[in-house]
Amino acid sequence: MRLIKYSLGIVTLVPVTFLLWQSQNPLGLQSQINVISFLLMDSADAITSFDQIEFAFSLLPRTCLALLIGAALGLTGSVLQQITQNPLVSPLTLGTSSGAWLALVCMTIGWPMASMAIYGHWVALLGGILASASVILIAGRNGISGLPIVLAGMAVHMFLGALAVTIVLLNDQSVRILFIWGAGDLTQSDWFWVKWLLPKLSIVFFLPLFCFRSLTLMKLGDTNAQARGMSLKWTLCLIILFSLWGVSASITAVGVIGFVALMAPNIARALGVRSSFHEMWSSALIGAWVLLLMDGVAQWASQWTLNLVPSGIAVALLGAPYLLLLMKQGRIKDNQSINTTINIDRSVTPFKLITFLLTLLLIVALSAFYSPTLSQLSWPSDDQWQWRWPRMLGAFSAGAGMAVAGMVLQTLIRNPLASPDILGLSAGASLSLILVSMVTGASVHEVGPFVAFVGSLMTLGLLIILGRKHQYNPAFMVLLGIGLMAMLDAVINFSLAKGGPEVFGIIGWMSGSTYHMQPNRALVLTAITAILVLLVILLHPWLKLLSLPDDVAQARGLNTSTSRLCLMVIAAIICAFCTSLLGPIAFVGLVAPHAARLLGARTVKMHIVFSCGLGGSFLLAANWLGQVALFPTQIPAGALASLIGGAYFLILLSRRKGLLSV
Amino acid sequence: MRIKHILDGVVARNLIFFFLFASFESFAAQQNKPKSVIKIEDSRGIQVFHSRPKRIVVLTWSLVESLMELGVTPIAVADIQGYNEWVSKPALPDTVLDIGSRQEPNLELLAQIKPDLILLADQQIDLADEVNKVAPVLAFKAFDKHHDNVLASREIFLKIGYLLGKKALAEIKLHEVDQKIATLKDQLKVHFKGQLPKVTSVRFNNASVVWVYGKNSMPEFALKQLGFSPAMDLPATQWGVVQKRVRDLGSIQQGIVLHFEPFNESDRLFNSRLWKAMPFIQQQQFASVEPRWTYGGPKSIQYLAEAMTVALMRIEPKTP
Repeated sequence: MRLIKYSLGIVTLVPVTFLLWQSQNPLGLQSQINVISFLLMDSADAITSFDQIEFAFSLLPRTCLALLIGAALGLTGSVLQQITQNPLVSPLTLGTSSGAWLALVCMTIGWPMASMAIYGHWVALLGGILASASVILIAGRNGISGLPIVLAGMAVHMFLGALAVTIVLLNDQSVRILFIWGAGDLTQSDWFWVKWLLPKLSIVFFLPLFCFRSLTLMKLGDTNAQARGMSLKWTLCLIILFSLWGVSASITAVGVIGFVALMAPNIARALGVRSSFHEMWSSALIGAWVLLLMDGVAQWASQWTLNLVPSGIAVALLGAPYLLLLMKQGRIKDNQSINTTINIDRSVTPFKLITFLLTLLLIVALSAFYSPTLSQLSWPSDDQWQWRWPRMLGAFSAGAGMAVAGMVLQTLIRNPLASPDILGLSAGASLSLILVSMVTGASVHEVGPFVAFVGSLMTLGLLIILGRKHQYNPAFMVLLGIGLMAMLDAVINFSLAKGGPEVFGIIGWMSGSTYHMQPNRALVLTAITAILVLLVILLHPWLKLLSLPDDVAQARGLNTSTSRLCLMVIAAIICAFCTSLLGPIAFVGLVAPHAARLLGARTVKMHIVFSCGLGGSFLLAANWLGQVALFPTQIPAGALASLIGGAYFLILLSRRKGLLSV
Repeated sequence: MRIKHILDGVVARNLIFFFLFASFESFAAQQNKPKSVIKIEDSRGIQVFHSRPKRIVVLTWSLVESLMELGVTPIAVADIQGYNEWVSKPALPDTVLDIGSRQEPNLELLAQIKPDLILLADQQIDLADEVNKVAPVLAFKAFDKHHDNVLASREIFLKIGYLLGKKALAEIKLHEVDQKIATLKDQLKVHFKGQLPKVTSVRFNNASVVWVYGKNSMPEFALKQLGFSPAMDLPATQWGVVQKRVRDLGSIQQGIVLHFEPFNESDRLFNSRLWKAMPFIQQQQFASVEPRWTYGGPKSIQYLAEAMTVALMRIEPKTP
């Protein structure tokens, strides 16, 4: 029965791919064979007509690249998903793409143009590998197979992304040639990338031969493997390193095409492939085929659209519905046990409290009285004050709100690496703004916060619909959010790919700025954040119970799934409001709750209050610093908060105290 | 006869224009307060001015050019470093203050320098209400899919001229641009022996992807003024630019392709087989244009036309 299904699939899909491929070139079959044989016989000079040359030097390398990269991504995706036992791992999740992107951005700005052409790809390769390696180091040996690696990956992804956005904002014109890379396009003008990539990927294709044994053993569990005298740790590290090499090289060549790595192994498993070896090979085949097919769709669509359609968006178009289907069917195993407990045994001393309050006072005083135009402290004039107070109030409320949302989610998910933006709400807001802006031709700021709010609420709705089947299991919700984020990211990158003047408004918005915080917006944000934070404080008994294992909480009479949903919706609404008025604010929600612990918040109630205060002051400080650091140019508060928060976070992780001590 | 002959000369005609209007202008300049209020229409509606602005801040680069052309130096401009790197013409004197980025001009600084007019456009229109607290604002929609960007920029130029009491000068300047382009057109006609080929200009994104300047773009308009029709027909868009694959340029069977510098992968692309097979390369109908800003005002049309003429003059006309 299954055999019939497969052969039917092959019988229908292979001709479709072939026809799509054929629709791209005007040559007859005989002529194509001639051209290929000329190429193989190394007598390319015999090819003369433009159509033939186009076939030989544009379409063929593109096709080879699609097959090569598709296979490499499928294979490495399968390896990484097996090792992490996580079906949603992709280059995006491991920070590879953002590392490469940051490296490219730095390179474009810092180095002369000529060397960019020669060394650019090496720098991108290095950036991608370094980023993924640091993700794996952060997640730690035990974190590799589970949620920690995903969360660490998202944190690094956001940190590097924030760094890149800041640089892009300060040098907007120079980097616009890079945006097409961000969207991922396979268009070729020669065999350069194929020749570059082939030797680099050849190692990767031998991966299944020597790693299927370790992967099979790993499935049996750590103890089993060790009992058989295998040093699993080092083998796995080596395998991961090779996979990351392959992923980084592929991304360097054609840009961010992440969905193939995500989809191919899942399709393979859905088709019933069980053994680790078969999964790798079939993922490679499926990956190659998926990329070829979707690249064909992109090329075909480019004939009908004014602007070219990048391959990345076509892959995402197929990948996104598949991902949703995957989630809806619940193929994701939610055996991700995450019981990362934080054992920081500290208490609030009056000294700490006074220091904190003094710092807050200092930040408020600086924000209010320091005048960057005169570089001195002075009583603000009415003019200055009318712009200062809404931005101060907005920054504090947003920081406080995001911190509480982060605290709630971290408690629900029982993982200190969770952050409200991980649920994909910020991405939802950005996406709706960008789509409306693309259709109407207005700038993202004209489109306004209402559209952003609707966008994040729609994302929330999607999360609720998809999460229902899993009783809003926290691990599942995080994976869902990350999946959604990957999907939305693809569309955002597509809209940026054109690199026109409208792009910088979008990037400005995505960096999270208080610049557009008018008085009424600041007041609305403050009022709503205050109400929702109060609500969270009222509901703190729920939070306390939900931080315990589910059965314990249920034994005490709590309906875990309802209460979880309620709290999650509250956190999401706070996040949606902050995002729609300021833009995405990363890391505040991640760092503030942790800092609150350090300050000595031991009860849930105290934790909420302290997170709130710390988050607010943190964003307020970032807001002030961003306005004075490069005066008169302003660095958006969100970007600066991500930089500081991200740095703090990475230092914490590298010191390994408290946060991830599993 | 002799007088008629002189009058035919472009220079003389300009001189007469100039004298006529210069006298009018000095008259206007003496009166800082116009007799009645000045009404200017911008993207938000009619804006009323009671006096002629003197201290002007410009938040967008295209309007810097217009203001400088009218002989008025703005007191502050957004992102001067970027302006110098990407627009560069006309050069800004060192006295001009940097007001911050174009997306987020510094409001406190803006208030402190007490301008009496703030000019902004397009992506900044949503800022109009906010900066209006500091000084009167003119917010223009310069780039739009539904109008002709160049006509719009000329209209904006005239409006600014009118507001500053320099409408006549503005008209002369526009006339000068047209004259200059007409001269270039004559040169090109001679060069191409009366048979003007089709021309399209592009800017490379990388070795595989290219931005093509289509309808409603400044380069295409400059080419049209020079008498060339586009080699690749593209519909009008907001910014006039369309992103295509490099191989799509192969569809240009007849005509010239110009590309704007800088392009850092030129070695790789220009040595590739695909590139060498392009019809316009085979026929040696390709040249590079020195870097030019393609989202400017009316004067930048002239800069574009000049730069493209230099490139076009290097191309040997095809013998039929």
